[in-house]
Amino acid sequence: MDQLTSSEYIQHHLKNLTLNIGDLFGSSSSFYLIHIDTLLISFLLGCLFCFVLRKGARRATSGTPGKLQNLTEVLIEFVDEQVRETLLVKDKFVGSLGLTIFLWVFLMNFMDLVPVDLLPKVASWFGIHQLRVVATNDLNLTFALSLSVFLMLIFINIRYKGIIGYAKDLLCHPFPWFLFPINFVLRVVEEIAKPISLSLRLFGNMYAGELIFMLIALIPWWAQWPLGGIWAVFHILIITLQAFIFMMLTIVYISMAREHH
Amino acid sequence: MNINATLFGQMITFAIFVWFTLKYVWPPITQALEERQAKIAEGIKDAEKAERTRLEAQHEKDQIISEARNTAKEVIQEAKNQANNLIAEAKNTALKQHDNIVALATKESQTQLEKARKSLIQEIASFAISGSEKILKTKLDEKENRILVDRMMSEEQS
Repeated sequence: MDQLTSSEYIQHHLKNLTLNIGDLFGSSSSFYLIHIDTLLISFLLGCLFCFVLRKGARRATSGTPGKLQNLTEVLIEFVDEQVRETLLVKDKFVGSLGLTIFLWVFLMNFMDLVPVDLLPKVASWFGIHQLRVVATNDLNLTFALSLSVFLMLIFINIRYKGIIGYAKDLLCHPFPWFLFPINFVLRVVEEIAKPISLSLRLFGNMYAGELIFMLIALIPWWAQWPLGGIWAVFHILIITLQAFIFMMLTIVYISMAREHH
Repeated sequence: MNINATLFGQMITFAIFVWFTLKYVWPPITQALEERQAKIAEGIKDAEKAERTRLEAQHEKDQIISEARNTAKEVIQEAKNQANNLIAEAKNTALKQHDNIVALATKESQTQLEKARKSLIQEIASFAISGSEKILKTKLDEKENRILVDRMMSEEQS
């Protein structure tokens, strides 16, 4: 690290571990550069929560629950309550979606609290010199989540209103039908703003958080721990809040999509 | 920072995790929760029922006790009555016996008196006869004198 300047250090930390799969079929487009670290870490973290929850749920009993079942129940009841309050009905699918988003995003955000240099250092011993451990710092991931939600919203709109109903909804609101071009443009902007704001909010928060950890890592060691400590405690709040916001907004958007005008 | 194929990889991963949660995590837990809810509701209902039964039992107990108390009172009253009756009867019997004894004694004493008087009269008569005999010496007919004395005595008696 000593031979790196500050900006080199930061830039090093902001680069993903990339694999160019475009070579396989002779394309040089940057689209085929995939971020192995994002994919791998998010997958592992997803598997972690799936494994733990499944363990808690597998021997679920209506009698006295074990500790793991208790944890799983608390999480599920928490999400289920949000779903019920927003949708006014119980919904297994929305609940599962919300739970997955909340836990997955939380765990990926949580990687931000692992010391910035720890995992990259460990990786470097195995010959991997680029590693970004916070998957939610990758726009690919946040957009993957929000686009999935966006596609789901369109699907839910059509399912609850029918294609014609959805078209009417798009063309005849908020102004009367003869202003349909304005209506349509407004609605498209409104709909597209949802996934963009979802993903950019999460990305921006986590990116800024990580950047500050990097800046703290650049100051002398004796000044690092108070600042790092304070920021880490504050960050615990941020990562939970961001995960909650992503889940909550998804549920709210779904309830809006199910509504009839 | 640019968007690339990672996006689609992540979308697929996301879909897998949502599917997993929907299929393997959500249902068993919600089912367990619902079952527990039912159990608790049933437990509360049972407790209410038990409470009701307890109240009924208490009521019954009170009733039985008060009945028993009444019965005891009746028994005591009856015993008292019976005792009074017995005492009264005994008194009666004693009185009757007393009267009988007194009557018997009276009768006996009268009989005795009568007997004594009769023998006394006999003795007096014999004495009078022997006295008269001595006075009149043997001149007088004892048979005639006897009749005379008997007549005198019957006049005396009547």
